[in-house]
Amino acid sequence: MRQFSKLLVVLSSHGRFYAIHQLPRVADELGAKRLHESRVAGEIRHVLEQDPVDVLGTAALAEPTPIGEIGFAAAALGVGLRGLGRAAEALVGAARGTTTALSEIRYTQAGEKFIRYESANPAFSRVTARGGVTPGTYAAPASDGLVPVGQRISTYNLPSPNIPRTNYLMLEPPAGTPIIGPRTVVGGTGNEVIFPLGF
Amino acid sequence: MLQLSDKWGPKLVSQPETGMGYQVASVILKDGSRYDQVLIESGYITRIRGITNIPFSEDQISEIIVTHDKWNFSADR
Repeated sequence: MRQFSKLLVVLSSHGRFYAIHQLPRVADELGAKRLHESRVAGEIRHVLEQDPVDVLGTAALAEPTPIGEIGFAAAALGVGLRGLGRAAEALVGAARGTTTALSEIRYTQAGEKFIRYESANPAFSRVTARGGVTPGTYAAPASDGLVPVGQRISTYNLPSPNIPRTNYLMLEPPAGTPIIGPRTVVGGTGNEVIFPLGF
Repeated sequence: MLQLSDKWGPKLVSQPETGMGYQVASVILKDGSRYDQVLIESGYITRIRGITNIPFSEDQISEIIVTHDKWNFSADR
Protein backbone atom coordinates (compact mmCIF):
# COMPACT_ATOMS: atom_id res chain seq x y z
CA MET A 1 0.00 0.00 0.00
CA ARG A 2 1.19 3.48 -0.70
CA GLN A 3 0.60 6.46 1.47
CA PHE A 4 -1.08 9.24 -0.43
CA SER A 5 -1.27 12.95 0.00
CA LYS A 6 -4.37 13.53 -2.05
CA LEU A 7 -7.40 11.35 -2.39
CA LEU A 8 -9.30 10.96 -5.59
CA VAL A 9 -13.01 10.87 -5.10
CA VAL A 10 -15.11 9.99 -8.08
CA LEU A 11 -18.65 11.13 -8.62
CA SER A 12 -21.12 9.81 -11.06
CA SER A 13 -23.06 12.21 -13.19
CA HIS A 14 -25.86 11.68 -10.72
CA GLY A 15 -23.79 13.00 -7.87
CA ARG A 16 -23.23 9.63 -6.28
CA PHE A 17 -19.92 8.95 -4.61
CA TYR A 18 -18.25 5.68 -5.29
CA ALA A 19 -17.12 3.71 -2.29
CA ILE A 20 -13.52 4.11 -1.31
CA HIS A 21 -12.74 0.54 -2.21
CA GLN A 22 -13.99 1.19 -5.71
CA LEU A 23 -11.68 4.11 -6.28
CA PRO A 24 -8.68 2.26 -7.68
CA ARG A 25 -10.78 0.73 -10.43
CA VAL A 26 -12.65 3.89 -11.24
CA ALA A 27 -9.64 6.13 -10.93
CA ASP A 28 -7.71 3.93 -13.28
CA GLU A 29 -10.47 4.33 -15.81
CA LEU A 30 -10.45 8.07 -15.41
CA GLY A 31 -6.70 8.14 -15.56
CA ALA A 32 -6.86 7.13 -19.17
CA LYS A 33 -9.23 9.94 -20.01
CA ARG A 34 -8.86 13.67 -20.30
CA LEU A 35 -8.95 15.19 -16.86
CA HIS A 36 -8.48 18.65 -15.59
CA GLU A 37 -5.03 17.79 -14.42
CA SER A 38 -4.35 21.00 -12.59
CA ARG A 39 -7.09 20.13 -10.17
CA VAL A 40 -6.52 16.45 -9.83
CA ALA A 41 -3.81 14.72 -7.88
CA GLY A 42 -0.88 14.22 -10.17
CA GLU A 43 -0.62 10.54 -9.44
CA ILE A 44 -3.39 8.03 -9.11
CA ARG A 45 -3.07 6.65 -5.64
CA HIS A 46 -4.91 3.93 -3.88
CA VAL A 47 -6.35 3.66 -0.43
CA LEU A 48 -7.40 0.48 1.20
CA GLU A 49 -11.00 0.37 2.27
CA GLN A 50 -10.21 -0.15 5.90
CA ASP A 51 -7.85 2.79 6.11
CA PRO A 52 -9.10 5.69 8.15
CA VAL A 53 -9.08 8.97 6.32
CA ASP A 54 -8.42 12.22 8.03
CA VAL A 55 -9.90 15.60 7.29
CA LEU A 56 -10.93 16.01 3.71
CA GLY A 57 -10.62 19.43 2.31
CA THR A 58 -13.06 20.97 -0.07
CA ALA A 59 -13.40 18.90 -3.16
CA ALA A 60 -11.95 20.31 -6.33
CA LEU A 61 -13.39 19.33 -9.63
CA ALA A 62 -12.19 17.72 -12.75
CA GLU A 63 -13.64 18.04 -16.18
CA PRO A 64 -16.63 15.87 -16.95
CA THR A 65 -15.66 12.72 -18.75
CA PRO A 66 -17.63 10.97 -21.42
CA ILE A 67 -17.27 7.49 -19.98
CA GLY A 68 -20.53 5.98 -18.91
CA GLU A 69 -22.08 7.43 -15.83
CA ILE A 70 -18.83 8.73 -14.47
CA GLY A 71 -19.22 12.43 -14.82
CA PHE A 72 -16.84 14.13 -12.49
CA ALA A 73 -13.80 13.46 -10.43
CA ALA A 74 -12.90 15.34 -7.33
CA ALA A 75 -9.54 15.63 -5.72
CA ALA A 76 -9.73 16.33 -2.04
CA LEU A 77 -7.30 18.99 -0.96
CA GLY A 78 -5.03 18.62 1.98
CA VAL A 79 -5.93 15.06 2.76
CA GLY A 80 -4.14 13.24 5.52
CA LEU A 81 -4.40 9.77 6.94
CA ARG A 82 -5.16 8.42 10.39
CA GLY A 83 -7.96 9.69 12.53
CA LEU A 84 -11.48 10.24 11.40
CA GLY A 85 -12.83 13.72 10.88
CA ARG A 86 -16.48 14.52 10.41
CA ALA A 87 -15.88 15.60 6.86
CA ALA A 88 -14.36 12.26 6.10
CA GLU A 89 -17.18 10.48 7.80
CA ALA A 90 -19.69 12.41 5.77
CA LEU A 91 -17.88 11.66 2.57
CA VAL A 92 -17.41 7.99 3.29
CA GLY A 93 -21.01 7.90 4.43
CA ALA A 94 -22.05 9.33 1.13
CA ALA A 95 -19.90 6.76 -0.60
CA ARG A 96 -21.79 4.06 1.18
CA GLY A 97 -25.11 5.56 0.26
CA THR A 98 -26.02 6.52 3.80
CA THR A 99 -26.54 10.20 3.10
CA THR A 100 -27.75 12.40 0.33
CA ALA A 101 -26.05 15.49 1.72
CA LEU A 102 -23.86 15.91 -1.34
CA SER A 103 -25.37 16.25 -4.73
CA GLU A 104 -23.99 16.80 -8.18
CA ILE A 105 -20.90 18.93 -8.53
CA ARG A 106 -20.51 20.83 -11.73
CA TYR A 107 -19.19 24.07 -13.19
CA THR A 108 -21.31 27.14 -13.60
CA GLN A 109 -22.16 28.31 -17.06
CA ALA A 110 -21.71 31.86 -18.30
CA GLY A 111 -24.58 34.05 -17.20
CA GLU A 112 -25.78 31.92 -14.32
CA LYS A 113 -26.93 34.04 -11.41
CA PHE A 114 -27.67 33.28 -7.81
CA ILE A 115 -29.07 35.11 -4.81
CA ARG A 116 -27.37 35.15 -1.46
CA TYR A 117 -29.59 35.99 1.51
CA GLU A 118 -27.95 37.23 4.67
CA SER A 119 -28.66 39.11 7.84
CA ALA A 120 -27.43 42.66 8.19
CA ASN A 121 -24.37 41.76 10.27
CA PRO A 122 -21.38 42.63 8.08
CA ALA A 123 -18.82 41.00 10.37
CA PHE A 124 -20.32 37.63 9.56
CA SER A 125 -21.05 38.19 5.89
CA ARG A 126 -19.70 35.57 3.53
CA VAL A 127 -19.77 37.94 0.59
CA THR A 128 -16.31 39.14 -0.32
CA ALA A 129 -15.32 42.65 -1.27
CA ARG A 130 -15.17 41.56 -4.90
CA GLY A 131 -18.71 40.25 -4.93
CA GLY A 132 -17.77 36.62 -4.53
CA VAL A 133 -18.35 34.32 -1.59
CA THR A 134 -16.14 32.36 0.75
CA PRO A 135 -15.81 28.57 0.34
CA GLY A 136 -18.78 26.55 1.48
CA THR A 137 -21.35 29.29 1.01
CA TYR A 138 -24.98 28.58 0.19
CA ALA A 139 -27.12 30.60 -2.18
CA ALA A 140 -30.30 30.22 -4.19
CA PRO A 141 -30.66 30.06 -7.95
CA ALA A 142 -31.83 33.39 -9.28
CA SER A 143 -34.31 31.53 -11.44
CA ASP A 144 -36.34 30.99 -8.27
CA GLY A 145 -36.86 34.72 -8.08
CA LEU A 146 -36.34 37.07 -5.15
CA VAL A 147 -38.09 35.59 -2.14
CA PRO A 148 -39.79 38.17 0.10
CA VAL A 149 -38.16 38.65 3.51
CA GLY A 150 -41.11 37.15 5.34
CA GLN A 151 -40.94 33.96 3.33
CA ARG A 152 -37.20 33.31 3.43
CA ILE A 153 -37.28 31.37 6.69
CA SER A 154 -39.79 28.83 5.44
CA THR A 155 -38.53 28.75 1.87
CA TYR A 156 -35.01 27.82 2.92
CA ASN A 157 -35.95 26.06 6.16
CA LEU A 158 -33.82 28.43 8.19
CA PRO A 159 -33.54 27.58 11.86
CA SER A 160 -34.53 30.81 13.62
CA PRO A 161 -37.42 33.05 12.64
CA ASN A 162 -35.93 35.78 14.82
CA ILE A 163 -32.81 36.00 12.63
CA PRO A 164 -34.29 37.43 9.46
CA ARG A 165 -32.24 37.45 6.28
CA THR A 166 -33.02 41.00 5.32
CA ASN A 167 -30.18 41.50 2.88
CA TYR A 168 -29.67 39.93 -0.49
CA LEU A 169 -26.99 40.06 -3.10
CA MET A 170 -27.03 38.87 -6.67
CA LEU A 171 -24.07 36.60 -7.32
CA GLU A 172 -22.64 36.25 -10.78
CA PRO A 173 -19.81 33.74 -10.57
CA PRO A 174 -17.49 33.46 -13.53
CA ALA A 175 -18.15 30.57 -15.85
CA GLY A 176 -16.44 27.46 -14.60
CA THR A 177 -17.00 28.10 -10.93
CA PRO A 178 -17.44 24.82 -9.02
CA ILE A 179 -20.96 24.49 -7.68
CA ILE A 180 -23.26 21.91 -6.15
CA GLY A 181 -26.90 22.07 -7.11
CA PRO A 182 -29.44 23.45 -7.52
CA ARG A 183 -31.18 21.01 -5.28
CA THR A 184 -34.33 21.20 -3.23
CA VAL A 185 -33.94 22.52 0.30
CA VAL A 186 -34.75 19.72 2.70
CA GLY A 187 -37.73 20.86 4.73
CA GLY A 188 -38.20 23.98 2.66
CA THR A 189 -39.83 24.93 -0.60
CA GLY A 190 -36.88 26.62 -2.27
CA ASN A 191 -33.77 25.48 -4.03
CA GLU A 192 -30.19 25.91 -2.96
CA VAL A 193 -26.70 25.74 -4.33
CA ILE A 194 -23.33 25.56 -2.64
CA PHE A 195 -20.08 27.07 -3.79
CA PRO A 196 -17.65 24.55 -2.31
CA LEU A 197 -14.60 26.58 -3.25
CA GLY A 198 -16.20 30.00 -3.24
CA PHE A 199 -15.25 32.35 -6.01
CA MET B 1 -29.49 33.91 22.23
CA LEU B 2 -25.84 34.90 22.60
CA GLN B 3 -24.30 37.52 20.36
CA LEU B 4 -20.74 36.86 19.34
CA SER B 5 -18.35 39.74 18.91
CA ASP B 6 -16.89 40.53 15.53
CA LYS B 7 -13.64 38.75 16.37
CA TRP B 8 -15.33 35.44 15.62
CA GLY B 9 -16.36 36.57 12.16
CA PRO B 10 -13.24 35.60 10.20
CA LYS B 11 -13.01 32.19 11.85
CA LEU B 12 -16.62 31.33 11.18
CA VAL B 13 -16.77 32.82 7.71
CA SER B 14 -13.72 30.81 6.70
CA GLN B 15 -15.53 27.57 7.51
CA PRO B 16 -18.30 26.16 5.29
CA GLU B 17 -21.92 26.77 6.09
CA THR B 18 -24.25 24.03 7.21
CA GLY B 19 -27.13 25.72 5.45
CA MET B 20 -27.90 29.16 4.10
CA GLY B 21 -26.69 31.59 6.75
CA TYR B 22 -26.05 29.16 9.55
CA GLN B 23 -23.53 26.70 10.89
CA VAL B 24 -23.77 23.91 13.40
CA ALA B 25 -20.69 23.72 15.56
CA SER B 26 -19.15 22.40 18.72
CA VAL B 27 -18.22 25.04 21.26
CA ILE B 28 -15.35 24.32 23.61
CA LEU B 29 -15.07 26.44 26.71
CA LYS B 30 -11.90 27.52 28.45
CA ASP B 31 -12.63 25.16 31.30
CA GLY B 32 -12.58 22.25 28.85
CA SER B 33 -16.30 21.61 28.75
CA ARG B 34 -17.83 21.12 25.35
CA TYR B 35 -21.21 21.74 23.80
CA ASP B 36 -22.07 19.97 20.58
CA GLN B 37 -24.79 20.83 18.09
CA VAL B 38 -24.58 24.54 18.71
CA LEU B 39 -26.46 26.56 16.13
CA ILE B 40 -24.78 29.76 14.97
CA GLU B 41 -26.57 32.24 12.75
CA SER B 42 -25.22 35.57 11.59
CA GLY B 43 -23.01 35.99 14.61
CA TYR B 44 -25.49 34.73 17.16
CA ILE B 45 -25.52 31.47 19.01
CA THR B 46 -29.21 30.88 18.78
CA ARG B 47 -29.69 27.38 20.08
CA ILE B 48 -28.06 24.31 21.53
CA ARG B 49 -29.78 21.06 20.90
CA GLY B 50 -31.38 19.71 24.04
CA ILE B 51 -30.70 22.82 26.11
CA THR B 52 -33.24 25.58 26.55
CA ASN B 53 -30.76 28.38 27.12
CA ILE B 54 -27.18 29.25 26.26
CA PRO B 55 -25.34 28.28 29.43
CA PHE B 56 -22.13 30.21 28.82
CA SER B 57 -20.94 33.65 27.88
CA GLU B 58 -18.71 34.66 25.04
CA ASP B 59 -15.68 35.22 27.23
CA GLN B 60 -15.86 31.59 28.31
CA ILE B 61 -15.49 30.34 24.76
CA SER B 62 -12.14 28.92 23.77
CA GLU B 63 -12.92 27.46 20.39
CA ILE B 64 -15.71 27.03 17.88
CA ILE B 65 -15.46 24.07 15.52
CA VAL B 66 -17.99 23.81 12.73
CA THR B 67 -19.22 20.21 12.52
CA HIS B 68 -22.39 20.45 10.39
CA ASP B 69 -24.03 18.08 12.86
CA LYS B 70 -27.47 19.46 12.14
CA TRP B 71 -30.79 18.17 13.29
CA ASN B 72 -34.42 18.79 12.44
CA PHE B 73 -34.71 22.39 13.55
CA SER B 74 -38.39 22.70 12.81
CA ALA B 75 -39.15 19.82 15.17
CA ASP B 76 -38.15 21.87 18.20
CA ARG B 77 -38.74 25.34 16.80
